[in-house]
Amino acid sequence: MDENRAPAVRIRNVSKRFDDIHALVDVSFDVPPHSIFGLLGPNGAGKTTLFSIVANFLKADNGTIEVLGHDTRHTAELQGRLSILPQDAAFQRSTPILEQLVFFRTLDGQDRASAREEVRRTLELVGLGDYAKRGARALSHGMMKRLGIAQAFLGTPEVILLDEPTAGLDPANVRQIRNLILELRERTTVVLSSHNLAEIQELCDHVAILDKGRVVTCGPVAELTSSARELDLRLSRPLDEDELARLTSLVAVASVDPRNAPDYALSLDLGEGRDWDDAVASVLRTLLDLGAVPRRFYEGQSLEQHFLAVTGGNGEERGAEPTSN
Amino acid sequence: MSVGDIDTRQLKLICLHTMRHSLRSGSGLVYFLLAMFFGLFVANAVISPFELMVSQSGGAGPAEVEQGVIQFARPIVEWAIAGGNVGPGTTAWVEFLLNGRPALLSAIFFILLFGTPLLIPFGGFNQTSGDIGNRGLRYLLLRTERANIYYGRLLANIILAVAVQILVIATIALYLGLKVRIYDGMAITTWSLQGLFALSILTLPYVAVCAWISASNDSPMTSLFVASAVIGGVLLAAFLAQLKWDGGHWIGWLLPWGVQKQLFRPELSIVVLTGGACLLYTVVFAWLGARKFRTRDV
Repeated sequence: MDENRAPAVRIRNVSKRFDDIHALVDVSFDVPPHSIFGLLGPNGAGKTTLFSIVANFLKADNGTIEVLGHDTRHTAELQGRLSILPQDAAFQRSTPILEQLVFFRTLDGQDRASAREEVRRTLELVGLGDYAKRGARALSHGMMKRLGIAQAFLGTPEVILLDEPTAGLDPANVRQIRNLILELRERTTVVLSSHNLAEIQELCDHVAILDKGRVVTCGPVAELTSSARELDLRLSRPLDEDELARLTSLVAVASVDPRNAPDYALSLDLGEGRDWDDAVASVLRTLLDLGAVPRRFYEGQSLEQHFLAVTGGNGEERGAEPTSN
Repeated sequence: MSVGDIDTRQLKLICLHTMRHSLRSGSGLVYFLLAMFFGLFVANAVISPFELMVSQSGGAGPAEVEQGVIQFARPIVEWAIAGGNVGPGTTAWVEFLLNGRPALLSAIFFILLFGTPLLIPFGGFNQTSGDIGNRGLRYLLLRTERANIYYGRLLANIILAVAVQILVIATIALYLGLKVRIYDGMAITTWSLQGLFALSILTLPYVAVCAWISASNDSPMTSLFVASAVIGGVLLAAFLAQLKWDGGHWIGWLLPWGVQKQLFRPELSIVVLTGGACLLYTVVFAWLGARKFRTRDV
């Protein structure tokens, strides 16, 4: 099989139960090669379980997973080609982090001298160069996360799984990690999970949404976010009721969601003969007449809207899920 | 998880890393100190009364001293071999240990023979359970096969346990040779080497039992408790069962308790056979643990 054209990760009919809880139910999708693939879902949707099965930490009850054409139950063929940032996995507290990462690289087959050099470089990259000779007990939660990312980036893995890579990081580090992920796109397939939908939308070209252990949506982000006639606007100020009524009275506007004012989500009614551009232009003209200047303009659904639509979630539930930034 | 999964290069790396980490983190060091303390405490408990006896006896000749040593060591050896009831089948064995070999060393070895298995859980309880619980193994699982992790750590624990035996027995042998001076150097050396062989080969199945228990749960404290309870429990159960019916001692065969004293038999063939039995126990327990570790969620 030509690995350049075959999916980097192929998941087929994977199910997993923990006692009477169905963590994953018949999950199937492909991750295209050299893509940044986002795995989304509410808490408990099964994202971490799926990552754990791909990485062979957990055994699936049913189904198969292939990474780069190899069954993941046989890790020997994937050593050095697949890496992961697992969630909440601990490093050894008393062994210097440099030594731990060098140990990982020597397991991969690298000699100690070049492994030390590479590890030092990688630790510098994630801002942990000064902690190289200290044990993990000296690291904060955010530093630990960066250390986990460092070990996932070691070597030249062809597929990297990142389970919530930016959770718990400060904004500067989040930006740094996102840039690192974007730099990987050329040579690596990245599968990442996150609660931060804006982050997924920014980074990923493909996405799968899990809900209650099932895949409810899967496809290119661009396709998912343009599959309905939606208009997201951020205005310079909130609209009052009269202004809102005027906007709603436009023929092309089916409804306006003002709950997050001055962010508004408009559903456009493209009845027979109505053109999308004309409908958008009428909305913008009306807003400018009212003196409410659009600061942000987004056609189609945002990933967040799509996510809420397919998972049946709402803002309150989302608020209960802490995002990393 | 078959032998075919094992990569000797990775096995060696994991073994060395585990030993370093074990000493650095303190758990290995605690076992090391505990086993050293126990070994030297036993040696002191056996040798000190004898030294006192010699110093109080004034100018006793070598023959009297030797007889004094044998009288002193006899109850320990007789109890260990036959529960104090030496019969026709065990007389030659007892005499071999008391007259044919340095009696003080024989007494020490028999106490260590019963004490060492009870100490092993303190060194072997956390081979994998802690890293299963805190998910630390997840950084390794894509880098090597589970067999390498399991057997690499088992090997590291065996090496540490045997290293402690070597230190304890070398210290005792040196003390007997240089300070007590009632046996000639060759007798001490050869009997110490056989004692070291016996205690080392005895260590293997008990470390393997701990590896199996450690691979079966994700809490180090549970592992320690279960390993101690199993190892001590089998001995206790065999002892109590023996009081009720003659065949009760067979319970001891669940672990090497039932056979281990044969490691100090005068007949080489029986010693070799017993060593083989210990290896067989080791293979079975290690395999059961490896099978569990291969199939479980980590």
